Amino acid sequence: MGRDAFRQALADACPPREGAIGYVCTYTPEELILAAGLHPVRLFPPGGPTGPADAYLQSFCCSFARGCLDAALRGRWDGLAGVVFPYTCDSLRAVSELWRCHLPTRHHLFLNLPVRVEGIAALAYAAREFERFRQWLEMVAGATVGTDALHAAVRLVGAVRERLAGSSLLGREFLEVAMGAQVMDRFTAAELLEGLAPKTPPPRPGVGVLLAGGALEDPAILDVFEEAGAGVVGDDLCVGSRYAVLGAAWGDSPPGGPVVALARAYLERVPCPTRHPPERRLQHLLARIAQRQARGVVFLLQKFCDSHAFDLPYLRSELSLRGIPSLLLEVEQGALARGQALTRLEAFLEIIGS
Amino acid sequence: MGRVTGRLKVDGRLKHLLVAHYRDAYLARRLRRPLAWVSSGAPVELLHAMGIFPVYPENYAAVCASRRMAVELAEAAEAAGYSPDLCSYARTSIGSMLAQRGPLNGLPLPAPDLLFAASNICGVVVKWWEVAARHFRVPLFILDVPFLAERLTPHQVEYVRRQLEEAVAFFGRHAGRRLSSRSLSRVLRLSAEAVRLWNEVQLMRRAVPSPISALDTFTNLFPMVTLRGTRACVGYLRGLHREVAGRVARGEGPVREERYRLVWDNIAIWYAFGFMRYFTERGASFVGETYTWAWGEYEFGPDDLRDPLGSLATQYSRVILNVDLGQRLDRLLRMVEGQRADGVVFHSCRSCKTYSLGQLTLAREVQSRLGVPTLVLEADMADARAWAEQSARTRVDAFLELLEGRRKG
Amino acid sequence: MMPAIGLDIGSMTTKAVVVEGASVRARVMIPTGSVPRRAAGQAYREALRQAGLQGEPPAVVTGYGRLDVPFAARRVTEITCHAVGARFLFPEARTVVDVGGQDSKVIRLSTDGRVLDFVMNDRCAAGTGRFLEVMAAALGLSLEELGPASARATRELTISSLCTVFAESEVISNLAAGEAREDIVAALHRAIARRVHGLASRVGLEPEVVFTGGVALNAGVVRELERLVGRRLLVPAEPQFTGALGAALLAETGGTP
Repeated sequence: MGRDAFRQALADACPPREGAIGYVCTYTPEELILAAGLHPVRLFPPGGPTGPADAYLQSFCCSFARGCLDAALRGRWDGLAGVVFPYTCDSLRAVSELWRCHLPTRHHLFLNLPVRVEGIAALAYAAREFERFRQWLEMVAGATVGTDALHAAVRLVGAVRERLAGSSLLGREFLEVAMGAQVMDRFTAAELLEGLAPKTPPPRPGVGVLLAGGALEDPAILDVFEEAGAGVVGDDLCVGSRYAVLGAAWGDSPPGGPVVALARAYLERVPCPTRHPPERRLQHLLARIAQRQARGVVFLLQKFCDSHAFDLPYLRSELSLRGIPSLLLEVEQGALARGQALTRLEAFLEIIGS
Repeated sequence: MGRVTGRLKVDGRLKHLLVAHYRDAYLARRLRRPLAWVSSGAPVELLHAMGIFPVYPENYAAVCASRRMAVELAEAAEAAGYSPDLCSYARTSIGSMLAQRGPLNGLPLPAPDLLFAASNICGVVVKWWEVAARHFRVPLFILDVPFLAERLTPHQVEYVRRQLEEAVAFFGRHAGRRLSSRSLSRVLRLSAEAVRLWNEVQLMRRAVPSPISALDTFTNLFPMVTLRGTRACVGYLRGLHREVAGRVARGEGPVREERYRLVWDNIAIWYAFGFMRYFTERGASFVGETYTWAWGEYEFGPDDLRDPLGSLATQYSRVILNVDLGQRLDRLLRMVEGQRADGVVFHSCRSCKTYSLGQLTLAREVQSRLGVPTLVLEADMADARAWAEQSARTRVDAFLELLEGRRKG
Repeated sequence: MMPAIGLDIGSMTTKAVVVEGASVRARVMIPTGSVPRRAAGQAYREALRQAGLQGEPPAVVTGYGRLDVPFAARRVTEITCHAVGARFLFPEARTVVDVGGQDSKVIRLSTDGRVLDFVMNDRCAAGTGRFLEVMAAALGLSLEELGPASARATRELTISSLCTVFAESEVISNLAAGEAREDIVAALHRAIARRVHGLASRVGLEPEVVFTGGVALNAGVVRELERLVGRRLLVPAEPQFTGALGAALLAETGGTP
């Protein structure tokens, strides 16, 4: 019953309530949104063919970014009070601009986050941007964001993340819950996450794979893994575990104040390939593989995603040096080319199973 | 009616400059001069002032493309696992790095001692330079220049400025060079003089007929990109300025009878200069390109010399690929009106997302605000595999028919 | 007024139309084959023969093969010719959607019939007649059978890939999964209509919308496109001749569009 609530939240896309703030990437400090008394909603486009956005975006824009604009133009997120685009990549930056030009969403913010995540200059800058975000949220909410509220929000989101990170759910079930939790009311999410037990049996030993990549539209993409007999034992996806592993916790009076501490936590989290320097990414991936005892890695690459595509040859050769096989599958419109993906997956399982 | 003229005479010197630039690059190691790979939006003035020799992988990739070598180099990168959907400059450069070959005497770009890229043109250069850093195992400095949405915030300028200070220390540490404020002032003055001359040349294209077209500026852009801040660049531009001014005085231009005046948006199609000549043959002159214009946007006034790093931070935040769509549109509208253009050609370049995504909206706005027709051409700046010249010519024909209909109507 | 002739050398077929005043006196369609100029000459002679004309009236030539026809009096792009032809057939036309063998285009017209803007498909064959031809072959149907087949569809399938190669493999795996051919055909029509509609929304879809080119003969595509556009499309009785008709009209007036 708990799982259905997550699935439902994901299907509803936009909760019918006041003060919903949409955002497109996990670098958005949702703690601040909650502290303003507003409701953070991560935007997942529905996948499938696009229509109205094709009038504004050429074919070489990835279908995730295109899908965001498309769904917005079709009214999927009409109920939002505001939308925030943190700086992620060139395509989402363009979508942010087009959203601002062509959609009537009342409040729009480009959260101008740094590409660099190390060094004092980047932290000082990020903290200023978080502060600007706080002021914007106060304007949207018509209320101040107090320190106590921020502490409470940090605890709440921390509970959601912790419970997700510690969850024993796997594969599609985990992704549904993780993505659903980023859309639904966070109190409800935190409550429901407790006591969610896995329904599917753990995968057969020897064929467990780890998924790695960026954003995905629809957890149903994992069905083909089940069909191929691959157990997905964990992920390093921005819609899945990378949301869960961010630890924003600090004592009563952090140096610089809570907003600075929050900015520091976001810069120190495991970086996604849009951030520099990139070294910690490989370490994190290796740690995930070890922790989940995965036998191989399947990279899910959104076609036309520059940031991830540039890292792949390097990541795959590093894995290969360590005897970890990997497979690359391209995602378009929220889906894999089913027949092709099935054949490749089965062949991959034959390799890692032997 | 204007008289027809062929290529610019200064083009002869241009070839000499290009050869000399790359010769110096290949000799840098022997002369113990530190060599840096620089992205096109990086504040190269710092390097010149510190005696570090800059080379531009983007320019090198364009050279590969114009010599029809980009495709095979890109294929070498693809064979190593780089997606064919990635930027063709990056694939060309990475392919050349891996295959150890290139169009200049068969050589790849000389290996760098250090790497310097700025995020103000795209996220791609950050990733591309990371690949180079792993390949050559040399230090990399990423100058993070936040997007300029609506207005430049003080903390944004401060962030870039602090990084520039770090960059100076970084170059000092890894190249053993120091920055003196005198040499930086000298370089900035030379840069400002180059920008002034370049902008004047661009504005001379207001004349009817336009004295030069896109082929000329795309070719003559080389010193502005790679030698900005040097005496050689200023010397060259003086010659260019003189020659173009002479053409204006005599009413000369590249087109026999100037029937259409166009503006070009986005990078050139480096392997298809024959296609650009097709415009000229059909009586169409380009009177401006947002791309060549962009190098005239670094304006250093006397005030800037007092706080050179702060000034660099501001100037390099304002580059065309780092500003929001509204500002892009303003610049484009100003160019169309100022240069008396009657059509805009948008090269929708599949490699360059920062330049291309948003163009469809710009095209609509140009149409609705100025009533000026637009044409969107799908192509790529370096990867000729995505190019179908005949169908592109048909689009141009149709576009010129449309403009002709307006002249009559 | 003197009779005038227009030729449209398409990638698959070559069309010739002879007009005199406001009426069409002859129309001819033959396969283009590998030598466009040969097809052009043949169509030219055949059309004049049908019209019972002597002499060699100057021809306006359009279509992808227009540059290969040495006897052309004038060459005009298919954009302008389709605009002129569609406008002649339907004076109220403000948008022309043309889907031919290897390209598709959408043309926006001013109230007085001038071309204001146009878009064409990029290099791949998605959203063209060629796409349907490949899919028909994969399904073991002829091109003519597609329209009627889709009318019998009962289930809504989706062909998501717009790439001809991938879409073909989707068709094959749908067949393997036991889906009805009729349903697959309808899904293909939706895919092509979606693609064309996406293209059209780049220039804007002002009513009335005229649908020309060989694919307009396919009632299934017309139906799906009408659904997306949200209104009836005007389809000429012989849509594949619209470009040649426009060329002939331009030859007649001797003027520019």
